Amino acid sequence: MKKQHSTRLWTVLSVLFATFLVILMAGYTIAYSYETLINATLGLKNYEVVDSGDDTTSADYYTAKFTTAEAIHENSAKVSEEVEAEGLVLMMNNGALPLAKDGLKVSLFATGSVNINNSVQGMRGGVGGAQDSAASLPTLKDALEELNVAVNPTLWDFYRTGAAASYGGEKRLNAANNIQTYYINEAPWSVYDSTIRSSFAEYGGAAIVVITRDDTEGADLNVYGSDGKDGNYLALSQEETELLQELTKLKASGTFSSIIVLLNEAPAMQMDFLQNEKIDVDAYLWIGNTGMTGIRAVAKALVGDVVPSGRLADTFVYDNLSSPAMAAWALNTNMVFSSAYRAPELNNTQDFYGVYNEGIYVGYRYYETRYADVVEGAVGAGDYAYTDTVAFPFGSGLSYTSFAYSDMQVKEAADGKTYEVTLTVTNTGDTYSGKEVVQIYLQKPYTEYAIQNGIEVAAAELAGFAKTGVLAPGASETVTITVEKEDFASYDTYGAETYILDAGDYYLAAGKNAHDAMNNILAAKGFGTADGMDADGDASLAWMTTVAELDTTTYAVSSETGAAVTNRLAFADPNRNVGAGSNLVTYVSRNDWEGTWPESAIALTITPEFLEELKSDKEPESVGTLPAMGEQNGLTLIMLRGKDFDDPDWDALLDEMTYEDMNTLLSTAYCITAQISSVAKPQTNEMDGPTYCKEGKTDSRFPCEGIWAGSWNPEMLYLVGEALANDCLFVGYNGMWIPGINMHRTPYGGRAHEYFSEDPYLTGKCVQAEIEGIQAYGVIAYPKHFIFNDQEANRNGVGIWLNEQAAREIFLRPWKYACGITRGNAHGVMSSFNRAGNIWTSASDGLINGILREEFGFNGIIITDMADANGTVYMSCVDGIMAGTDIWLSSGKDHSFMAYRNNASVVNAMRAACKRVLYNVVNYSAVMNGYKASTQIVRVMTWWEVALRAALGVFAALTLLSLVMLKKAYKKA
Amino acid sequence: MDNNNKKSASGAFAACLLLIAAARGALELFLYIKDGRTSFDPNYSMYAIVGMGVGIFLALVGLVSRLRTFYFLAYLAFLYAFIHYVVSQVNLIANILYGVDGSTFPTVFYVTIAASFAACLFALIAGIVKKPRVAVSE
Repeated sequence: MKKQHSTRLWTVLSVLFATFLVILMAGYTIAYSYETLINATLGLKNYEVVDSGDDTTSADYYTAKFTTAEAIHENSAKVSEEVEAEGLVLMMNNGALPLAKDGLKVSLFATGSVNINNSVQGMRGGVGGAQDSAASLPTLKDALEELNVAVNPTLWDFYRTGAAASYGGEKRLNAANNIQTYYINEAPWSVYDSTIRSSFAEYGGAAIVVITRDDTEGADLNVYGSDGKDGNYLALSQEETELLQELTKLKASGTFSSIIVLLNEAPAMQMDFLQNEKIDVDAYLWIGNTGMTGIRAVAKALVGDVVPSGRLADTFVYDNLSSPAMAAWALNTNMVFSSAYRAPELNNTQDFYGVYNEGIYVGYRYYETRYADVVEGAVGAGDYAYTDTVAFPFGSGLSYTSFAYSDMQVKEAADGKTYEVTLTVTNTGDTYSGKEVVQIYLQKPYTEYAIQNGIEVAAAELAGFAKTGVLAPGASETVTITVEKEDFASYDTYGAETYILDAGDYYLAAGKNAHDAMNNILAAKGFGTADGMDADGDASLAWMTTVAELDTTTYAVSSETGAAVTNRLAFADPNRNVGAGSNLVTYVSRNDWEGTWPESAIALTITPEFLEELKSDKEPESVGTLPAMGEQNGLTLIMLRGKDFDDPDWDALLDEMTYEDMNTLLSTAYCITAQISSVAKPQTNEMDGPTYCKEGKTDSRFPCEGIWAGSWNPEMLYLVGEALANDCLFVGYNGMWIPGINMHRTPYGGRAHEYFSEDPYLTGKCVQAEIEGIQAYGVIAYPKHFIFNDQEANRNGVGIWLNEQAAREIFLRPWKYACGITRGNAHGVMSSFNRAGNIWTSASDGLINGILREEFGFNGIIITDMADANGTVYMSCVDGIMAGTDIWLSSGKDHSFMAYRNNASVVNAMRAACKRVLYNVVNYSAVMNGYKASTQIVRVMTWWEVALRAALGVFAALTLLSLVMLKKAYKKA
Repeated sequence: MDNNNKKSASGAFAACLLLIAAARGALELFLYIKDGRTSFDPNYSMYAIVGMGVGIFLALVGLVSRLRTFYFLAYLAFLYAFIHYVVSQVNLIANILYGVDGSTFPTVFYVTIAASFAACLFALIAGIVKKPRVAVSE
């Protein structure tokens, strides 16, 4: 028995130890395939920097401005509040604001009042750091009480812990249609019992209603299926409407002195409730998502300690489906953005597409242009009433004071490339000092040439702006605004196939918003209210110049690089893609609004040519010779710092890299660029944003990007960029995937809080300033997502179809400001998940090598979006590298260049990518601080590698020992 | 005699279990090669495939040789294959668990992972149930 027990014991132990050994063996293989991810997650480095030289000169190439957590947090808190103060928008005010602070007692209404959307994830109670720190961020109640404003505690507790506590926004799968759905879930009025209602009178100084909406990555907002009116998430729900109606009754009865609504969301709410006669609100403030301390600015604005100076970066309308883009969206199945080919041979990263049918008519470009056409009696204007459509124009916003404009003058600069617009702004108010935003809009002529060649021309486009300093009552300031003549050009896809300056009259007009400027232009043309204008414009604030002849050459070359600008995006337009077959899209046209308005869902069918385009891994023919690799030339990366990109030493350095080095550098860029010992390149660390540093340790969080844009103040954007960069450096990161510069093409894009505006010029000026602030500190900015990732539906592979004029004038335009070598000069770009047409954007030679690199002069690092998520099929290494993409946001497990080591075309493209990575890191990254010519990088084992190997050894030994003992036990038996 | 009968019974039972394990392993291998690649994880894991293949081979060797060692070796091979199979599907699993686009696990995923786990489990139980062969002195 004892012998049986002995054999049984050793059998069990043998099997047990062998089991652990096998698990460790499997784990060993798996761990090394995820090595970069593990090290990035644990914050480890698998290399050491060794300096064997005696050079004592300083090697601090970049210096942080704030070096302690406290200092960073304090600065971020200050900037967060300042940008909110400058960006929040007073949309409407009948005199109720500012509230008189002395003895003020207010009641805060709606579930959003106790759960403000300050989230950097867009979603309250969101993921990760945003949720963790929400409890420590000031509430609206805190902010008001800091100003000695009393807040109704009964009502506060009612929402926090009482009967209304179970209500509030959420996101979940709608079982009826299997779509992720945002729900408002506001508390119904019936829940407000007599105890709650009896508390109102004492705190009747104002009823402040916080209408909150969420938005988040991965899920567009719902046009249908939610609990807003008609299922529309951005419309008021029945409960919210009832709340406002009941408060209106209470105001009428004297319980409340005023009703103030705070619109606490990034996207543009549908404003049809303004037309509800049972709702009488005294003031509306758009406050966006408020970040870490922005709510303090909101509170201060309510009582006049902050004088609002923000202007809307999006148009707010009565019906969010009134734009041509949303009209088409709402016609799709389930009212989602994307449609499906439903072809059996396609997988779910190939089967979806979306069409940008609106062309250039995004946001106010549509609303103002059609208004102008109605006033001017243009054929095809159709039935359209501006005042019934637009509630708050783009660029609008009020102050607690008033401003007058005078003495507008326009002069051409000596170099002939710009116009200088000067204008005097005077504070005509009596009490408050404030800032004014002067906006300059451009009108290009809509000519016969344009009509015949399918060129669309908006009646108003933002061309310049300036924000004054703080003007005291009676004070004046003369602002100077530079307008680039290049912006007068339109893209002519079918005629000249480049940018043209059409013959005709061009107008520049100053205005307080897009509509104001539009009316000024119309007034200058001789139109008035008798012609259907809703207000008489001021012709003195408009200026005209005439271009005598069509010019097809001046703007046919890039102002950044001198490269020829010509059609490159035919593949992304069903009307020009040679393989489109019978597919045809009717883009909305000013020439016939009603005739080109979408009446049915835009359906495309798959063709054999489309199927071919959708394929991935298109290895090119091997052309040329393989470069030298693995040489010993005695160069290290730091020796190339400051050298021209074309310096021959770069070739000598690149020759030192082995093929494995190149593969590692390019394919394993999950939050890093890898350390490469052969050239003494250190590992860089990158992190996500864009309104916070995702792994930051200082709780720094900023309001949504729409608020930043709403400031119309590039200096604020610089400060935000500076704050983000310093936060990033503090935790050892030297690159950030920020900012988000896709467009608010519609209000329903899921990442509204991460993008700036519906206008490309405003977006461009914001991003340029922010990038300057970020990169000044040696943090490489990777603006994202390049390109056409303006909504979330099926983003992994969805094919975006659009015309080239819209692509260039709207969606690509901010990238010129971000990446243009004479402008923001970003040293990184993150490409997008989606396709343009059938081609993954990062695999598009036309977009990457053509427009981004050749035309804009971008010579930075292009990283893919998350290639280890759902995109491994089409985010192909060989496709991307041949198009000019550099590195893959991947652990390297599923992306590799190892199959192409004998293909000279691919290897040389890899070498070019490596050069861009190395060049940008050595010149623009703070990671190089401390590196000198004598610095070497030595590979070391991390603790988990040591532990893993030790465990393998231990269990191998134990297994062997137990087997030996088992054998002995059998012998004895 | 009773001991011999018991040994024969347990040996037969263990052999049945090992046969089932081998069948499960073969099913797993077939399904993985047929449908194991998805848009999320388009590459085969050779470690998983080799593990499955080795496991089936060892199981068959065990059935023929009736040596308990091969039963356990088959279990270890199936265990190795199971781990690598799960890791090879990690992108699919993450996508569905995160609920990004409402996708659900395909049926073949459930069947494959069940077959893989079953192969491992049955082989282990077979090894436990199987009595070791001991020389009988005449």
